[in-house]
Amino acid sequence: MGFFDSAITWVANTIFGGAANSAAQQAVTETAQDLAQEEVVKWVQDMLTEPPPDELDPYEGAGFTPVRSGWPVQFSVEAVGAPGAPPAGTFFVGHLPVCLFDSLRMTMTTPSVEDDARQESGALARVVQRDADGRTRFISGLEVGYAEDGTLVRQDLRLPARSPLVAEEQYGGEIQPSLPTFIVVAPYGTWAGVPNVDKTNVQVTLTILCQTLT
Amino acid sequence: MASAAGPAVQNPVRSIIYPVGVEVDLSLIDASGERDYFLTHPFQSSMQDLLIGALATVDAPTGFKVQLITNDGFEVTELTEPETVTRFPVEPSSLRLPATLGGAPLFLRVFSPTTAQIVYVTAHMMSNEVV
Repeated sequence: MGFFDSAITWVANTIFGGAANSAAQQAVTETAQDLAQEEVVKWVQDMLTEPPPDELDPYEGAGFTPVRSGWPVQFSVEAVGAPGAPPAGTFFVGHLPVCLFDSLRMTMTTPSVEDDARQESGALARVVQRDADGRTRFISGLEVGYAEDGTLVRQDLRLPARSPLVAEEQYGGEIQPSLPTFIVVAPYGTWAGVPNVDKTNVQVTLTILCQTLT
Repeated sequence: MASAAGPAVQNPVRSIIYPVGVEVDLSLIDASGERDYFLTHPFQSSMQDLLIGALATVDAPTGFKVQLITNDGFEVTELTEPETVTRFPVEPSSLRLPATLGGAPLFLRVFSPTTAQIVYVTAHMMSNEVV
């Protein structure tokens, strides 16, 4: 008998007395008990297989409908390192149409984790827009707080210098149609101990999901 | 029961609008007063819109115009007449430039005096699903 069957039997015995009932009581209540026991078994099964509604994961509940769909369109840029100047740049990708943020992916050339074992320096990437008030709208990354001017700040996508890995961000905010949109690449850390800076380039790809015209 | 005419026919070909952006640095325009900026190789695409803006709303320099051309290395074809633009707003102004696009490389020809100004231009292209 498995744990599940044991649990059902324990609950049923606890409620109805099980072997502790006298023979007389058992004879009188046998039919009713069989019926009730079936209900209890069903109840326990339901309890074990379906969590209470207030414990449902909001992203897996029946009311959750994924909205991130569309046709993927990608924009790729490369920030090139130079002697003494780690890779950086601001790249215009366009005034985007009605679309959704899908992902931001980043890689580096000349990988070698040994060069920067403590991973104190690296490159970051973010997707931003400029609104009509001259403020920056952060698109990619998790929300991490607000700037003094009320701008919602999001987490950068980061990759340690000369990392052989692929960094990817799949969380982002709303893209405002028709605002100028940029991919920003910038170094962080000192890069003083990173050799071959001039061969360390950063590749970043933004994927958006465009909506089908109907 | 289905009617004799059958179910309503829906457009079987879906399409999307995708952006092609180019950064136009007016300080790089030489004394000739014009420069071509590559946009894309259109593949069964049409242009829906051309958006022009800047990071802060400013007036365009006198004589600023844009024109769509193709240049396949042998021949330059003017697809539209030069269109005057007077302002570069943050939320871009929209130019409807009707043009028949083939597969030749598509360029934006910019006419402008040399000025320390960066303009952001986006072509909204419509592409149909290949079925």
